[in-house]
Amino acid sequence: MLNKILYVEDEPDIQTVARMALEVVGGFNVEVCSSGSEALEKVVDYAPDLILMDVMMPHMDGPATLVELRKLEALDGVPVIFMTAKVQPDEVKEYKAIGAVDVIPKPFDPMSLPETVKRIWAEQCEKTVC
Amino acid sequence: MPKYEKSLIEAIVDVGECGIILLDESRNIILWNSWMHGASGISANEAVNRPLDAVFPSITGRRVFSAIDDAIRRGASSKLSHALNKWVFSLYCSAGATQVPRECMEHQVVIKPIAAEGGARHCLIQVSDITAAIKREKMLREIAQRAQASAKEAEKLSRTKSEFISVVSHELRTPLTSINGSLSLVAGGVAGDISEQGRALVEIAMRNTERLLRLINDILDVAKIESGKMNYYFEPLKLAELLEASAVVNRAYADQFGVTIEICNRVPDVRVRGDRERLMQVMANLLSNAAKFSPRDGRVRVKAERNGDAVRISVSDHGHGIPDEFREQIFGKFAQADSTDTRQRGGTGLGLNIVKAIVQNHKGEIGFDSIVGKGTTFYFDLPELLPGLLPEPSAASRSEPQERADCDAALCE
Ligand SMILES: Nc1ncnc2c1ncn2[C@@H]1O[C@H](COP(=O)(O)OP(=O)(O)OP(=O)(O)O)[C@@H](O)[C@H]1O
Ligand SMILES: [Mg+2]
Repeated sequence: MLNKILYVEDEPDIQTVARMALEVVGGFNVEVCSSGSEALEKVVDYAPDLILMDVMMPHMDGPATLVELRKLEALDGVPVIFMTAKVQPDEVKEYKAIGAVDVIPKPFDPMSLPETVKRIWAEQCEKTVC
Repeated sequence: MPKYEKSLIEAIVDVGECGIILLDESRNIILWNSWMHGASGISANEAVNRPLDAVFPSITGRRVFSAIDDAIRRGASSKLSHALNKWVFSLYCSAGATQVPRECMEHQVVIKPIAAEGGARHCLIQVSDITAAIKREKMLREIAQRAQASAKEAEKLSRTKSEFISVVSHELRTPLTSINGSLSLVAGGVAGDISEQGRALVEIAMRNTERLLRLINDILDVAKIESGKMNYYFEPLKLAELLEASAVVNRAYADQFGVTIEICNRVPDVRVRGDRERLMQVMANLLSNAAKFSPRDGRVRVKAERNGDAVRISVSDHGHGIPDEFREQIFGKFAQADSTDTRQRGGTGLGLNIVKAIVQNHKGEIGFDSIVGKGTTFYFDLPELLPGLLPEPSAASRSEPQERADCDAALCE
């Protein structure tokens, strides 16, 4: 079952909105990180079922963080979804090439965000038999 | 050849458009033409019988000096390269004779041995003025450099422009993401129950953020089109699937006006090469226009048919039509037929401007027929993608779309 979500986003207001959507609407357990490096620090201890991450972040952007995350054995099989306004076909191809399972475009609708995340998670489970 | 007077030789030598100096075997000047006088300011009287290096002390030790030696001693000719032998002699352009300081003359020097009486060898020095050629060369080089610089500048500008577009789109969407998100959560009751008035207000706010978002997207699209930065991702598309998807996506919008969308596809097998998202954008605008300018309970019909080598997609409505005087402007930016009606129906008049650019990028053309009071049909042609050019689906799935051309015949009139 999908329960623990690690959410990485540098913009505090969007953080609040998405966290409320995931916690209140979706009933998930959410750990919020404001940067790629914070995510890398917390991720092993928190042991999320799924990671939701912004692309444009200062210092270490989403794709760079993903590349680092993929080096951690403890995270094998944990799906990573990007949430971004940069969703041109070649950008999406690039995200998938480095191992993102899907992309949720911004602006997103917080009321349907949990459903979208669940659907992607279910699709992923089918593929990997989790 | 008969023997002429020295004066005759001097006369001939003076006619030429170049400097002539004749030296004897000890480098003493024996002939100095009037061109040399003009260019150096030294007359033949002053020069003749003096060694050349006394007249032009600066030549000692330079290449010209050894070249003269070579001519006299070994009978060798030489042409001094201009690039390595600039300003061999102190010569000035005659044009600026009165000007101070006079402009230095760029000149080219040729040195030839001359057989003289008694087996001695003299030396002929020919000097030509190449100032104009050098200036032209320099000018051309400068023009080329300037062209290169402005090309670089233009490239930088265009990079700045696309960076600007991408920054603006991110910066504008970020606050809208949290505004829209917050409103959606409040409307969804996540922050507790809200009163009816509260809900009405939140819905107004949401509708208008959506409108603002659409406007931002349109303005960015126009900016992209105008700076040639609109990206396209072409792929083979099933036309039928595209039209159906566009009807589904725009149904909710049409519902607001009580309008139904019907599809009549006469070419259910056809494929086109196109950018799916962009063609959806074209359909969204044509459908939204048709819906918002339709009478209540109107029908909007999407039709696809063959038109020569191309496929024609059209969107028809029974709305109030487009007045003739508006024909010219309709594809312009912010172009809206001036009526309070248009204002009430929303929109900014960018839609058709973007649509036209997208269709043209698909090697298509867009046009419309309209009768005021009766209705409007917008149409665009796309080149058909011939079956041989792409991997075909299996035979089984190919036969089935025939049945799907089941739009009711009455609709297809
Ligand atoms: N089907 C139609 N019937 C009548 N008038 C139309 C129709 N389609 C377009 N027009 C006229 O052309 C104008 C320009 O259309 P366009 O799609 O460019 O802009 P818009 O719909 O007003 O705004 P936007 O598409 O940017 O939201 C419209 O405002 C309207 O006056
Ligand atoms: Mg429009």
